[in-house]
Amino acid sequence: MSEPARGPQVPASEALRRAITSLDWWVAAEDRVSSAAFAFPVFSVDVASLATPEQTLGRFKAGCGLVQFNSGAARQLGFDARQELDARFPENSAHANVYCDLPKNERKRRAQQLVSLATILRAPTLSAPP
Amino acid sequence: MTISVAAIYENGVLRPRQPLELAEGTEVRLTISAPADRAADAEVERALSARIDRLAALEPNWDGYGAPALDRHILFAAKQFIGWLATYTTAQPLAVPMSSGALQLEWHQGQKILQLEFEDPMTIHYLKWDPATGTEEEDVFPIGDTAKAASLIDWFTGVAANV
Repeated sequence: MSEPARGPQVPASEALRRAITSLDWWVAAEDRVSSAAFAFPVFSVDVASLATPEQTLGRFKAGCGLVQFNSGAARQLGFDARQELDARFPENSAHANVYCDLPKNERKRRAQQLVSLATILRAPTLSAPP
Repeated sequence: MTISVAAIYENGVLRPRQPLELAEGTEVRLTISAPADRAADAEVERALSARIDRLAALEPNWDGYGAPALDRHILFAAKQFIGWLATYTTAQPLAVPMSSGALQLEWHQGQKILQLEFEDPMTIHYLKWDPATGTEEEDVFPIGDTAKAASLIDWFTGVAANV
């Protein structure tokens, strides 16, 4: 069965935002996000021009972090952002899926390169687990 | 050739804690460093096991993006690995859940990073990353290959292992 057609490509000039929803994805000692937040064949983001940081964070529990990176720079690394609805939040017209079609043995390296591109907009303030 | 391995002294014989790629009968020179700190070993294992137990309790959608609960077979394999790890190094990693249901151990020191992802109960997918030396290495190895794991940890901690 063929893969469903992907949505329109997010322009290279756009910024993309991803919520850091787990404190486990935050390297507190180094004050940076772990590439564990990006090392997948596909992950969700919001297109920055279509949602405020507060709107993005409003869909998650309080205290989540938020990082931002450029769509075009991410595409050069192999991360292709496509504007597609999220079945869990169909009202979110800013949603895009970021596809990483690279071989599995390149994804960690690329995800770490993506971390290097990302800007932290909000550090997470989630409570540390007991 | 110089390698660094952990070993245990039993009944008058030093027994390496991992297989050595040496021909039978090879003579080697030993330099024995301080005995392993058993208390530190136990603390690394206890802290990591407790953290994995907490991650095992994560419910589906723990990341808010629809992630499954972590794979129990992977967590079991990771705990077995940690039993070995604690005898090899006191450099304690972060245990990080992955949205795929896998588990990753991460060591960070400035920009230098080592990641070991237990992507299934048999396989570790690793990343060596150090922008200062241009190191960007990624591959997989069997979870039972502790010699490979040891060489990666030696790279991160700076122990000489010029095999």
